[in-house]
This record gives sequence, structure tokens and C-alpha cells, in this order.
Amino acid sequence: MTASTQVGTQAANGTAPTSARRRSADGGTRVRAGNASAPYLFLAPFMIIFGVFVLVPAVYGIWMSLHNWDFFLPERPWVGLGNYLELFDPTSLTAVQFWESMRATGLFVLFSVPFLVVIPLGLALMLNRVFPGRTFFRAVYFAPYVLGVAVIGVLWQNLLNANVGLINYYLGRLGVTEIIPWLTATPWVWVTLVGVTVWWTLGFNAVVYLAGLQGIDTTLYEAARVDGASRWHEFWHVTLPGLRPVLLFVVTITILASANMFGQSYLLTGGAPSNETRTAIMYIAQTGFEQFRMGRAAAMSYILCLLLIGISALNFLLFRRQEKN
Amino acid sequence: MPPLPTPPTRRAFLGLGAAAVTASALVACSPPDLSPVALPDVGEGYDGPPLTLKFWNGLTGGDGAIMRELLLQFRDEHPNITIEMFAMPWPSFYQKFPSAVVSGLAPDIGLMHNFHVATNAARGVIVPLDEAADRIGLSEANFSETVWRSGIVNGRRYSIPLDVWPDSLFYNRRVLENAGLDPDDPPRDRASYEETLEILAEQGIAGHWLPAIDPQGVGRGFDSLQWQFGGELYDEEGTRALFNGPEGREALEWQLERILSDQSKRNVSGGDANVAFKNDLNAFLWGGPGALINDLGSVEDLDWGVVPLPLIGEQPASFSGSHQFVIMRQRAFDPDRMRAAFTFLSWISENSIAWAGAGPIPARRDVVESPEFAELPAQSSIAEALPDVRFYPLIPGIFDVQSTILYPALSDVLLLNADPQEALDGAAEQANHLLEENRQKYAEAMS
Amino acid sequence: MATLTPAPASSGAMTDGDVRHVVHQRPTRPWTRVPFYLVLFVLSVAFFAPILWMISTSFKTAGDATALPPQWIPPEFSTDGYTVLFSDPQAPVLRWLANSVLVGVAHTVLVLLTASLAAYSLARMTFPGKNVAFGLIVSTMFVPGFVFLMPNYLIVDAFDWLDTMWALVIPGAASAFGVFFLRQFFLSIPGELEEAAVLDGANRWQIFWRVVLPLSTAPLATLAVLSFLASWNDFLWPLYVLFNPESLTLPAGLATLRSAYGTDFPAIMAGAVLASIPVLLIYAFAQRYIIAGVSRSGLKG
Repeated sequence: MTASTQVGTQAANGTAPTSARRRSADGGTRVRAGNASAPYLFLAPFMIIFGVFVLVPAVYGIWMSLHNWDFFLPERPWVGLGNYLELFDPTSLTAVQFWESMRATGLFVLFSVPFLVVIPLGLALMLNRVFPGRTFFRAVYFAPYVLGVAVIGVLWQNLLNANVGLINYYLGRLGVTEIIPWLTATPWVWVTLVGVTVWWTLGFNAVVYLAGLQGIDTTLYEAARVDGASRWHEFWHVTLPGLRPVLLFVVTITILASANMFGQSYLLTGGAPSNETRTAIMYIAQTGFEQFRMGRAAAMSYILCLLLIGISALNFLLFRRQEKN
Repeated sequence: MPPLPTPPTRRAFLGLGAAAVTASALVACSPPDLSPVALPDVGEGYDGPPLTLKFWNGLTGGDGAIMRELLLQFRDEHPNITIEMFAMPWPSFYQKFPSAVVSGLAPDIGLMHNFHVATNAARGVIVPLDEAADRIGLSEANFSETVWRSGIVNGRRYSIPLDVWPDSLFYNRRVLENAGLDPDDPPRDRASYEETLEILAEQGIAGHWLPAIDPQGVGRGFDSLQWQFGGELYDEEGTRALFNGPEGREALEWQLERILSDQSKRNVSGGDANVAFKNDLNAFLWGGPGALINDLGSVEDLDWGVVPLPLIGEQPASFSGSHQFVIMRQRAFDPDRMRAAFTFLSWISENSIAWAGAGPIPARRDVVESPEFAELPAQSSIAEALPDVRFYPLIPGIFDVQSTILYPALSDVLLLNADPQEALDGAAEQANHLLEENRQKYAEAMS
Repeated sequence: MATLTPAPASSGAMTDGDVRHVVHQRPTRPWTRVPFYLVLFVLSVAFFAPILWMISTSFKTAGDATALPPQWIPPEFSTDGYTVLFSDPQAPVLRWLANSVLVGVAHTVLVLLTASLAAYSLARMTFPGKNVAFGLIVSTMFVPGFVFLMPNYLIVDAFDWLDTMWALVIPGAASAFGVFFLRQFFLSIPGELEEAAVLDGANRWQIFWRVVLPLSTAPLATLAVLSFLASWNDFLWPLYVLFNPESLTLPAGLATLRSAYGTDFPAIMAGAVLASIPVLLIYAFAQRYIIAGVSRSGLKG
């Protein structure tokens, strides 16, 4: 199969549905087989799961968030927007802790996304060359991702132990006299969480970039070379514009993945020191599953979700603007 | 985000909406039925067909192995009852078992810390055991008073105590000896404790690695110390936090002083302190005998001893916990299973001397006074502290307050990121909020 | 719940040594290659060393595991860590591994099946409500999965699925991304092929099964890899919906090991090694396909 680049690029511009409509306007393909119920039968398996585990929870979650919904209480009184208002009441402990956890998530996104967008791009540019051992290196950088967060967590907890860990020992050999509290003190905990996350997921983004690089029309490079363009010029005027859709994709999923961060904090720092690295997801899970205040936890999820959707939309707009310029 | 292809028809939307609401209604099943429930009126002594009871706890360390041995012994004596034990880390246990009760996946028997009993009694996931205790012949006369009473919530008994484990001072004899100190005479008061640490520090040894980070261990030293200085964590009813008083500050500053004067390393986690002790890198470890006696005993080349905590303040006091048996609420109680469960509870209470091998002090008085117990050097040395054991106030939700508010604040100070008084004041303010919230939440449940 | 929100891709299978690179490869002089290789090599060490350390530590005695200076070769070769694990009824690591694989495979099969059927009807058929259905599906593509955490827990509870595999396999199986992604691909398949099949007397189902799916192996493989990795890496959901030791998946199981064996590093590392070796082996054999699959996911978001 060859790539149908057309469709893909249009999708990035939000025009895919249009092209779809064009197709379906003339009745899809002129296949007149089966009966009227066929499309529904094809759609049914997906729609049942989608309905029960996506649509219903979306509605049901809102319903929960409007009640004082404690898992163990027989009464679940209606509190209207109480759960939401409480999150914006500066005197409430819940609000303080929730925004503290939102801050942790925000910091993590802020620190990790640039690294996870830029470093894999550099790596992809290197791996895009032709040289012996390419496949091997590609495999090595992707390997940590397949290990899973639990393995990564227990492994780095051992390596980064402040007093008996490998990393501090070698730093000591290099002349760092201080014992660095990787897992226990700010700012080091952030260095740890971001560093480990980059180490763990860098390969994924690099591979996505690689594919993007190979989709760039080579005649553009040839033209640039004929014009005597420098490497830098080539990167700036051919590679980057060619990567725009892939870049948008990588930025979007990386932000979402970083905002979803849970396992690294849970396993490496446990939220320490004093809840500084307790992420929003961690706090929501604790509120709902450990203190069993599910209505409140649902309200928190919606606030975080709205913020994320806002950020994703903003991303699209920014990339669109760029494209127009 | 791709726009919607065409505006969907209103009818389709209404249809979907109706479907979603219907499904939600189906799902929004009635709240769990956790109203008071009567246990079947049975005593111990099950002799019916073989059955298997599920027993959940958090004994994931060496203590778990000892419990398993006890279970095998029980089975030898009662071939028709098998106890299937699941141990998971305590935090998961407290998170999972209440959900399991609601979902009908509850085990028959559980073991939990006394400071979690009130919380779960208020939730209705464990059942009152007053009559059960009577029927299997357990009463205050058999037990040390503080421990026996720590299973009572709102005048009803919800748990049967198994043991008690006051935090104690573990000392590394080899390290003391190498530093020219007497390994048979560990320091027991403030002056000698500080002097010992100073002598070690002069030789470049951080004698007492004070945990600054660790969800469990970081705060218990502080708890003990502020009681020793005459403070209280909370008022009687558990409505206000008092740990930010002068006693609390004094306790925290004493701990901080160890760190600042290099008698402790910095940024230590509970696990680090433990590893260092086993590797002869420090001299003292404060901790619960329940886990430690067993844990240290399994290290071949370690020469250690244990005594009650040194008296740093004005009066002896040690934070303590107690493992207590509970019966989980079932959707329906089966008299046979109950009979088997009571048989087990009665048996293990009588045989808790074997449990002392895991480290804790058995809760039963007759066991502690037995000659077999006297033959356990570490355990009987710790038992000296029994009159001075202190518990958290046994009110619903108390552990949340300790572990999510006070301990992180202490951690902040011991990691040298915050001023003691400010951190304690901030924590007290937050704790008061949470105490109030807990009171409302659990009052409803207990009414 | 494993939810996927990547974007659509093309079907261009990525092959190594694609002719196109050679074309725009600038001529390089041999000595400029040295720093290039050096950087790659240093990076590889950074990626490999921790994994080697994990394997080495799992074969140490508890004392050697925390000894300073760190020993890369176990001074005293010991299988204590593994013995401890295998003798602990609480830590059936191989069982967790099997659970994880089973859940991953079942989840992946379900995603492929439901998404491809739905995508085909949305790409190739006209019916009332089609736009509503497609709109709903696409609009959830950017809604992060955690929003459904609390209500889904209660739904799974209502179905009595807690502590069972179903709780992990089914709720995350409605992949909006998968539908969107496959639909894009189906739209690009020339209609003539299907029309030819109709002339041969095939019905909708046969066309889908015999004509469309065989043409779609590349995007299906991509979706399979992404679904499996998402399920494999899922940590939060299994942590809260599974109870008993024998029903845990690897991530949840290792998390319990970590707290149970606080400082028994050989045992913890042994668990991590047992969890990693099979995956690394599979990865070593299938890495080309896995990487190709992932790479296609992001092509032209």
C-alpha cells in the first residue's frame, strides 16, 4: 500500500470530514449489498461498549459531581455546584490540596514537554541518516518504553537512592561532595521525575518523528541543495514545515500524557516531599478511591479535563495560525 | 479537533440522551446497604464439612511468614477449617477492603491497626463483636487495659486485639563497641543519648539516621517525643489539633537538631535508615518491633539489641500500634462460617505466644506473663514500656489526618525546607479543617 | 483505563534503508562521523546500563545489593532474590505476567474488532444517524480517560467485574482514535475493489472480511501495537479495580512488591527482571514491526 498522504494532511487541517462527506454524498461506494440494518450491526459492538463505558460515564460523572457522593453513605444529598464551588474556595483544605496537585501536574507538563518534544526530534534527525547500526540504535532507545512504568519505577528508585544509590555514588566519584536527595527534596524530585520520564518515553516520540521525516518530499531537499542552502537553512525551511502535522501530533499527545502522569510519582516519590509531587490524577484517585469521596473526585476530573481540552484546542489554533503565515 | 460533519438531528440527540439517562439510572444502583447487621447467634467450635475462610491483612514482611505458620498449626488442630491468607501492603489493604465489602468480595476476617478500627466501624464495613467476644470468652480481664479498650468505638467493640508494638530503640552493638562505648548499656535518657550521638559524630558516624521522608515512619518519632514532653496531638474529642503547642515544637526541634549537628544524615528515608543499620553504618534505629525484630533477626551478621525508647522529655511515652482482628460485613452471614471464624479467633488469641516470635508483644496478659514469653529477650525487654504506650485518639478518619497533613509537614521541616513552628501551625490549621469534615462525614454514618 | 488519543496516520509502511534517504543524504567526511557515533554510543549506554544493573542486582545477596562502591558483577552470585519471590505465595510474578499478556491480547483483539467494524460502516455506508455517531466518537477523542474513572468504577462494580479481567479488557476497548484512524484508511481504498466483489455476489460482511481487512494489515498492526502498549503500560486502573494477588497484572503486582520488600533489592529487582525479560525478548524479535507501527500512528496528525 502506498501512503495516501492527501487524506492525512487534510485531517490535520480539519478538512477530513469534508472529504468524507464528498465520498458519502454519492452514496459511498456503489455497493448495494446487504440490507438496511447492516450498518447498525457493524456499528453495534463498538457502540455498545462506547455507550456503556464512555457516554454513560460522561453523563453519570456529572450527576455524581452534583451530589455529596460518598461511596459508603446511604444518603447522597444533592449539593448542586457545591463540589465545584468548594474547589474555588481558598479557605477549604480540599481546594488548597487540589490546586497544589494541579500545580504539580502543571510543573511536570511545563518541564517535561519541551524535553520530550525537542530531544526526540534531535535523535530522530540523527537516526534518519543512513549508517550501519541504525536499526540497533533505534531499538535501544525505544526499549525502556516497552518495560512499563512499574519496572521503570522500581529500577530508578534503587538507582536514585540518596545514600546507597548508584547515581550518587558515581557523582561522588566525579567530585560532587553533596548527597543529592533525588527522591526527597525539591527541586531534585522534579529533575528525577522529568529525567526518568524522558528516559522512559523518549523513544516513542523519536519513532513518530522518524516516520514524519521520511514522509517529507525529497525533491524539496534537492531543490534546497541546488540553491546552495546550508544545513541549518534546510532544517528551518524544509524539515520543520514538513514536520508540522507530526509536530502538532507529538505536542498534543505529549501534553496529554504528561498531564496524565501518575505512575512515576506514585512509585518514585509517593508525592513527597509534603505532597509537592502529588499530581492531580494522583489526588483525584486518592480522593475517590482512598477517601471514597467520589462526587468530589468527579468534579475535580471535570475541571482538569476542561483545562486539557482548552490546551489542546489552543494548540490546534496556534499551529493553524503558523500555517497561514 | 475536527468539527462535526453536520449538525446532528435533534431527534437523534434526544434518543441518545434518553438512552444514556436510562443506562445511568440502571447503573446508579442503590447505595450500598451498610446498615447495622446482626451476626448469627453462634459460638465457637465448628465441626461441619470442610470450609475455607478468607483472611486479609497487611503482613507482607517476616511477620506474614509467622502468621502463615500459625495458620498451618491451626489447620492441624482443625482439619475442617482452612484459612486462606492474603497479605497486601497496608495502604492497599485499607484502600481495597472497604470497596471489597461494598462489592460483595469481602473476606471473612481481617487484621487491622487499632487506629483504623473507628474509621471502618463508622463506614459500616466491619461489624460489632461485643457478643462474639463474650461467647468466645474474651474479656478485659485477659488483656492489658489500654489495648483492650482501643477496640471500642462509641461504646461498642469492633475488634479483638492480637498484639501491641510500642516503638522502641534498636541499637547496633558492634557500632557502639567500635566507637569505644559499652554495647551492653545503650543510652536510656536524654543526656546520655545526646552524648553518645556526639561521640559517634566526632568519629564521623551519623549515629541515628532520622527518617525525614517515609509515609509511616517519619512522624512516629515526633508523636512519641511530643507525648514525652507532655504534649497531646489532639484534644479528647478529636476536634482540634494541639501538636503545634510548645511541646510539639520542642519535640520537632530536638529532631531537627540531630540532623543539623550531623548526628543524622540528611534526606533519609525510613528504608535508608534500616539498610544503614543492617550494614553497621549507624547505631540507633527507632521503630516498631512488629516488623523490626524479625527483619533484623534475619540478617546473619548483625549484632543488635533493643530497649524501650530513651526518655528525651519529662515522661516516658512511646507511640504504639496494635493489630486487631475484625469481622468484615457480609451481604449475608453464614452461621457455619461464623462459627469457624470464631473458632479461629479464639484459638489464635490463646496461642498468641507463637505470634510474639514475629516481634510484637501479645495483647493477652496471661501470655505476656507466661514463662515462654520471658524467654524471648528482645520482646520482654520491650514489654517494659507497656505501661507507657500511647495511641492516636481512636476517632474515625484520624489516620488520614496524621498521614496526609501532619506527617508531610514534619517531613518538610526535617528535609530542612520549612520552619518548625510555621509548618506545625499550618498543619494544625489544615488538620482542624479535616477533623471537622471527618466529624460531619462520619457522624452521619454512625447515627 | 488504557485510552488512546493519537491521531490518524497514513499506511506507508516504513522500511529501513528507504531509497528516499539516500537521495538527500549529504556527503560526509569520515572524521565528522566520530562525534556522531560518540553521541549515539553514550546515549545507548545511558539506556542500557540501568537495565543491566537491574539484572545484576537481582543476582546479588541482600548485603551486596546495597554495598558501596556499587558492584556491577555480583561478588557472590546468588539466586536469593528469585527464591524469595517464588516461595512467596503473595508474589506470583509469572501469574501476573500471564495476566498482563492475556489482558493485553484480549483488549487488543477487542479494539481491532469493534473499531474496524464501526470504521467500515462509517466509511462505506450511508444510514440515518451516521453523522451523529461519528461526531460523538470524534468528540471524545481528546477527552482524557481519567474523566471516566469514578463513574466507570461504579459501572464495573455494578456488573460485578471488580477483581476480574473484564474490568481491564472491556471499559477501555471503545477506541475513538481507532475508529477515526481506520475510517481514514478505509476511505482511501479504491471502491472498484469492493464493487468487483459485489459482482461476484459477496455481501457486506464478506466484502469487509475478505477484501477490506486483508488490504488493511498495516493500519491494523499499528492499532494493535498501540492498543497493546497502552494496556501493558496501564497502571492506575488495575491498581484500583483488582484485589486478590492472583488477579493482579504486572504493574499492579510490582507496586505491591515494592512496598512489601521495601529494602530487599534483590527480590524487587528479580521481580522487575521477570517482568522485563519476556517483553524484551519479544521486543528484540518484533521491534521492527512495533517501531513501524508506532511510527505510523503519528504520521500527519
